[in-house]
Amino acid sequence: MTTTQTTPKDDILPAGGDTFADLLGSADHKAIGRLWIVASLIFTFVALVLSAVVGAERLPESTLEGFLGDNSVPLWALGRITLLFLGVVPLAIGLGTYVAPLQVGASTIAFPRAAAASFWVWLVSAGLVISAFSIEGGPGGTSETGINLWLTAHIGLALSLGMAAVCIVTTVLTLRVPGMTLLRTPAFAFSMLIFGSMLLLTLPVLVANLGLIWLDHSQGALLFGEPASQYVQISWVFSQPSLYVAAIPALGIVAELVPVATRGAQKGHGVVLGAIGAFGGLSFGAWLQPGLNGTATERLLYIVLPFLTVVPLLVMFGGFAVSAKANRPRGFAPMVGATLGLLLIEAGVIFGMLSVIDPLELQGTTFATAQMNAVLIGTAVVLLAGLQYWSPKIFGNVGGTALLNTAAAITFLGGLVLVAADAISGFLDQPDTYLADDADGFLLSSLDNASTIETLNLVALVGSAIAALGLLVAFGAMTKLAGRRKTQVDDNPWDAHTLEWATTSPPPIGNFASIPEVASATPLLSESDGESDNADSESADAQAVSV
Amino acid sequence: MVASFTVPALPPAPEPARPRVHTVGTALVAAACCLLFAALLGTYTSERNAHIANATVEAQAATCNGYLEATASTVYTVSAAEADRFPSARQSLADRLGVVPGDGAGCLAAVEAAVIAEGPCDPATDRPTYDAERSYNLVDAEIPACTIAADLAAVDLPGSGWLPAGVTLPLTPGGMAAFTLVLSLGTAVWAAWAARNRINSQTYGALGLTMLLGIAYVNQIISLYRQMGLVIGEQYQAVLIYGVTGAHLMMTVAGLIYFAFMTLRALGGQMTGRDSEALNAAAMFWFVTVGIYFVIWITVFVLK
Repeated sequence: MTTTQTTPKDDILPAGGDTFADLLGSADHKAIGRLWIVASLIFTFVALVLSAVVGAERLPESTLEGFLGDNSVPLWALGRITLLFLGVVPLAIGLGTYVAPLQVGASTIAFPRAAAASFWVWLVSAGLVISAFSIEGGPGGTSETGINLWLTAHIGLALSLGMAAVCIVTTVLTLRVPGMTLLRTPAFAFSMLIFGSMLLLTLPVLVANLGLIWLDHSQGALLFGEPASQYVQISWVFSQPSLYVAAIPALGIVAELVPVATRGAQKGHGVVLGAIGAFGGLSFGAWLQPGLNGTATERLLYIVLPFLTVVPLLVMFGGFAVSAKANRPRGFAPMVGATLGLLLIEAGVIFGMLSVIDPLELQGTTFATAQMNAVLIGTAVVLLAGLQYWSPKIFGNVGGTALLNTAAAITFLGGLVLVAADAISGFLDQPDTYLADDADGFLLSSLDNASTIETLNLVALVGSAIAALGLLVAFGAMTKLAGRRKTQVDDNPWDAHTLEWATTSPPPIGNFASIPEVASATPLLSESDGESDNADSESADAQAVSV
Repeated sequence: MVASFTVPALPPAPEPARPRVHTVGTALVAAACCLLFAALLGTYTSERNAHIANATVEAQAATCNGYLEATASTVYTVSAAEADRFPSARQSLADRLGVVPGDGAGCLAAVEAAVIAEGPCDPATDRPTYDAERSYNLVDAEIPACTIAADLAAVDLPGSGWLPAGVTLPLTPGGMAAFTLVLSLGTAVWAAWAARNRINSQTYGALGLTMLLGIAYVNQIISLYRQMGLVIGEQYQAVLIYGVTGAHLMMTVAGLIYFAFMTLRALGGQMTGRDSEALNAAAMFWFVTVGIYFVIWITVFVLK
């Protein structure tokens, strides 16, 4: 049942401006969300290029091995930092900033100025992180100033992402429309609630680590500040279970798309939300702290968690299967990218299980890199699918969505090649890092199966390049979409069920002309099915509150 | 004739439910701050325990490399005193060394002989936690005599504590700071109550007092820093102590800025009645700030 009546009037709700000055001063969540999305896609591209550059050093000795010299460790770390903190997590925050308030029927995001400030602080910090690495800073770097700059900028990154998370979580918790209980919250908005909460449980611990490293390093490096140990102290963020935090929004997007593909309400919506919540809860990994406890990865909890993490995923798949059985799925373009990305994420979770099986001896090998790339690139692919799904709202256009689908498929292909090559070379004992005792750096020829590993490294490099190409195609698609923004597009071209599709495409400032009221998890589906009853007309009066 | 009658006053219309945006947002930030300090204090405690255990390891190395003779009498005095708590373990130690309990000279000779016979101990590579009882009980597990003696020696060896020599963490300034913050809790509650009841003069006064007490707390902590004698870059304990307390100072300043904004809004005519939600949120943040200080005070200043 629904009582939604939300089409805004153009004369009272003007569209936002497009100039740089408008963007700079805007506190509209849609403008901020777009900024997050564009900037994070650029950085994701940079991360994949960096992955290819660093991978080039693992090519056969006759070509490029060791060409990065002292920069290899910082660049290796920069690739990871960029992919996680400048790429995938901000991309999810961008989508969440744009879509979550719409999904819960809010006219704005909570603390809009803080949301805007978080983006600009993040952007400046991201620039400083890149600058720090360019002057040989970063973990394991050789420049004292560069390391201090990296530490300061990385703290800025963490604080800004945390602030953005506060805005999103507060929006979902407090600004839901009347009738929208937490169990009726759309899956993506709910996943952003879990994602933001997990960020708020994780980032403060990272800030504590970075703060202590900075304090010590800037004053003589007696305890935490030694360059060689800096990455180890923050490495828990890039490994399981903390790594899975980034994948939470991807699960929400898939859970959002499946009911649209099956043209029916998600069976067991609450169970699916619970599974997303459980997956989020199991991704808390700040307790690991390998810098303080060298045997942290031998703890029982660390060994058991990867196996438990599979359970919520299986529950979600079960829910999707039930929905698909009840209503035959239709051909639905965004589902392609979402399915491919979910496969990569699932591969990453399975890799996580394998990596804790001691006899396989995969700890410290490139298998860990493969797992990280599987989860993060898989998440990026699903987020691209989400971008495609919400492009009518974000860009006011569906004209470039096929190209976005292609971008997601290319990125998936590149990610798959990269992940497979790294995973196999991990089984062949190729070490994960370039940390070496001598100035010559990592010597590939010292390994058994060196020639096979060299070939795999070449394949991995090709995979990174293909994935980066996929991001370039995504840019092309977004340019095409943005260029056609003035084209009229249906409010609900996918025949979707949640509240963001009840307003115009793109939504005006204020989002909704009146405060909508919902009585189910799929208000638009109920409306189209004619489930509205007399209560609709009664509550139509109640919704006359102007936005 | 005009009939007169009294119309009963209508009850005030209930105000619509408001989303508690400030309360929830502030609670999230406060929770994140709690996590931050949990991480800082966890690191602090971990490093402190490791430092104490390291002192034991260093004592082992010193004992096995010639330090034994100079410290042996102390060793046995201490060990005998400690062993009184564990009679059976003490007897095991004595049996292991072939001496009579209380015979310091005999103990020294036996330990020296054991060291010569078994060779010096290898420096420990991990960080064992000091545990006198465990050391005694391990006698039966054929631990080399020098390790046993060194474990016991660590009880009184200089440097086995957490703070470096010459550094003090006086309790009084920290205690006074705690008292100041407790007072500020009262004034914060007063401000929130006065705002809710639309007593503007009291709101202004209570907010001003709260900020004054907060500034006094900052002043007390800075004064405490001057008394401690800890220097970052010379003693690594300073990184942790300044890291934990400095982060709390920043949180306190953030709370004061929050209150300052609320004061400005109160002076502008806002923050009254049900509009005082943001002021209540600021008070909640201040409560968390004070609560965290008490945990820091106990962990860093009391349990030093």
